[in-house]
Amino acid sequence: MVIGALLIVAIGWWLWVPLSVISARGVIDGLEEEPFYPPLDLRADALLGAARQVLDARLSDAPPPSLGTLRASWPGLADVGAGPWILSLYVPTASSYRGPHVAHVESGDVSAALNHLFDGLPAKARNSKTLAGASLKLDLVLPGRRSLPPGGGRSGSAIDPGLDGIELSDAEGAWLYLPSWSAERKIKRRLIVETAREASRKHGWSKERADAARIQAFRTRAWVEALEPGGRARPTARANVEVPVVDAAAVRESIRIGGAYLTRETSSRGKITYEFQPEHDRIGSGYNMLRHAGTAYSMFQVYRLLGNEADFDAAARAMDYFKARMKEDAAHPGEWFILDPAKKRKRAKLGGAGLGLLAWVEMEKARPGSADYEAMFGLARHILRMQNPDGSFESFYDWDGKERTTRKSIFYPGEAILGLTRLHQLTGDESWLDAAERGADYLVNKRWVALGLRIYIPPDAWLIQALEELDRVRPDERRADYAFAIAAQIARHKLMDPSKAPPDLVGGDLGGLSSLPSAANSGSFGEALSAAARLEARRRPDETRCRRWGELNLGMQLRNQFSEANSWFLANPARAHGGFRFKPNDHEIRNDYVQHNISGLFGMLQLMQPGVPDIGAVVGPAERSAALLEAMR
Amino acid sequence: MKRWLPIGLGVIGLLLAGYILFGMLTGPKQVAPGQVLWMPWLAVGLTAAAIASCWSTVGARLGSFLGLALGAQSGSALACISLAVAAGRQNYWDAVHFASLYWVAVVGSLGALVLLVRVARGGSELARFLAVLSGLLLGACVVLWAWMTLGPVQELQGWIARTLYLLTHG
Repeated sequence: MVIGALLIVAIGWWLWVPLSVISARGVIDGLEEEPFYPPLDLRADALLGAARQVLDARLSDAPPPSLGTLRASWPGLADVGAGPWILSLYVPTASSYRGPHVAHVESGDVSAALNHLFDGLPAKARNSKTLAGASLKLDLVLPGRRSLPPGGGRSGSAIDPGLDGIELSDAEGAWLYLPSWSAERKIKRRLIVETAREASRKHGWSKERADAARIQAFRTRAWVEALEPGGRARPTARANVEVPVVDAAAVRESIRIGGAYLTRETSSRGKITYEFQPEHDRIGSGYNMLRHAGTAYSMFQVYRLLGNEADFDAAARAMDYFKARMKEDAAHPGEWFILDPAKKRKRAKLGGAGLGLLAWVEMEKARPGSADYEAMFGLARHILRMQNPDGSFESFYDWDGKERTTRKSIFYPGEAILGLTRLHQLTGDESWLDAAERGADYLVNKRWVALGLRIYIPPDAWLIQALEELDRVRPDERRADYAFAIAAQIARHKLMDPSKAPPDLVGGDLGGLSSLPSAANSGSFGEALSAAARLEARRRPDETRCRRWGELNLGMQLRNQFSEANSWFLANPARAHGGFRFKPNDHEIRNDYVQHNISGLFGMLQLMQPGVPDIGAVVGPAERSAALLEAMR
Repeated sequence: MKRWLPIGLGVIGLLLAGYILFGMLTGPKQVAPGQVLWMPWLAVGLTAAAIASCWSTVGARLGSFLGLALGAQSGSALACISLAVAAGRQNYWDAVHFASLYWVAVVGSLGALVLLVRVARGGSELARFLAVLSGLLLGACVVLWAWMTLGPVQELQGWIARTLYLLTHG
């Protein structure tokens, strides 16, 4: 009896949690048909255009245009009505006056609103230098409100980050926390209501009043200024704009600015900025040599595509930095590994050798004769030492007699196998391919298989690339099927239906209850899905499933790369330009996020445009440099 | 003696299963992968020996206790799988560790079901209730097998995950 009661309670709790989350959500009455991105609007064009005219006048010390002059220049001002319209000014600075500064546009008097914003800035900020990159945004507050449970519901799940604004109201009035604010800075979903309350206190609300206020969700239509003078105001949602077209030209441009970001962020001694937080104009303190090597690898890919010498030089400096941290195995001369800095001690990870090998091979493919062959072959020989007789790999090398971990990385073996496969493409030496094949066969046929069960198929984005390129030289049905299974496993946990997912999340993966999809994962999964699409084009030419997945993933990638179009709210948009962020509401750029995205885009571009360099290009005997041939002897 | 031997073996089996589960609950990183290979099987083996020692004479109370012990070992194995995944043990365990726990769960729930149905035929209400629970555990094992093996079930799981995500982020 007791057990039965406990069982019923447990099932009830299990059902109640999701039901309580879902029931707390809902659409605001009257906004059921509201589009995700607002339509182009002449009133928004007029208000933002006029506001920019006033701002320019204030910066040039010219007399501000009268409302009559503005109405003559912007006929749309006559139609703006009561709104309510809210004008925001963003100043690209990490200083306290960054904003956004907001002002209500009363009766279409945009001049008064802009003057209010301008005069609210400290005197030192009221100059054309500081405000050169300033941006204006306009919100039209829509009618209708939706009550929120305390705190915004379980984990804040009643609130859509970046889409729902928070209204605090009482008998004396209301204060609005605009929708985009919870996406412009990293704010946990469960803390949005509390953040709104705190923000209200900076605008004259007491703590008691904010705590006692009625909390409701509201929505706006929002636009940011046109990028070109005289252009139309650009619709925005969740602090982002839609990427208009995802075609080969857009992908190529994305790779170009991504490469330019990495080149800018590579120091004179070859260290690549690891983490950059553009919303604060701050860099992180950590470092990771695996990701360093992977990033250099993608920089050579950019060079292979675009031929920009600055990209190659920066990547070459990065490889010098890498080589300086490599170590020759004292017990096995001629074998080299890379030491990854860690808080406690330096560790020799298989992934570091795999990605280092990839980078050296890519360097040699990019410019024959440029690689360090001692390092390249030394890493490859070390990888062979890490391989067990059954084809599996050890993930950590006990180089100093202190390695105790039994950890088995999911991704290191795939990185090593891809490195060996690429070395075969460069040298034609079958022994590297033999080792790669043994490793791949272990992962496909034995890893996660035991006692008659296949436990699961991990979303191994490195292995699938190796399988695609192995298949070109040693085709095998089981390996090909496994590659397609990895792609299906990845796609299964992504939002691949544009008719159901919010437009800005299409192609994104499933985060947790409190998390928007990871754009960083779209980078690594982009590498995986593009490999699957290439395999599909060769093995299943009548199918387009993997290619479709790759294309949907592309949209998520491009939407989360910073460009002039979507960085108006950052403290340092110029530095962030070209970088790929972590999530739609977490703007940290890490070097490997950029690498994964560039490599995935490179792989997709090959399918979209003839003549693009092959990601797995084979170097023929006649193309090998004399230095490489000498090293191969 | 005939009565105390199966009780003693059943208790030891329960304690072994409880020991592993307690370890996974309190410190999954401290549980050695080797332990999950042999200890759950030892527990099931001891309980199976207990059942075998009294199979022809087992009564309602002893039969219900041994069925409960076997079922608890099955539930413990399934819980250990969940806890291991939640704790990221897949970076340290091999397929054989997860597969071993899975088969312990299957053998435990199936054995418990067979025993409890036999006892329930004698009229025991408790055994009937416990048989239902064992059946549920066996059903969970079948669902897990289907998820590991069948593509359509994996698609269904993906569809459920996507639907729930969109219901909370749409």
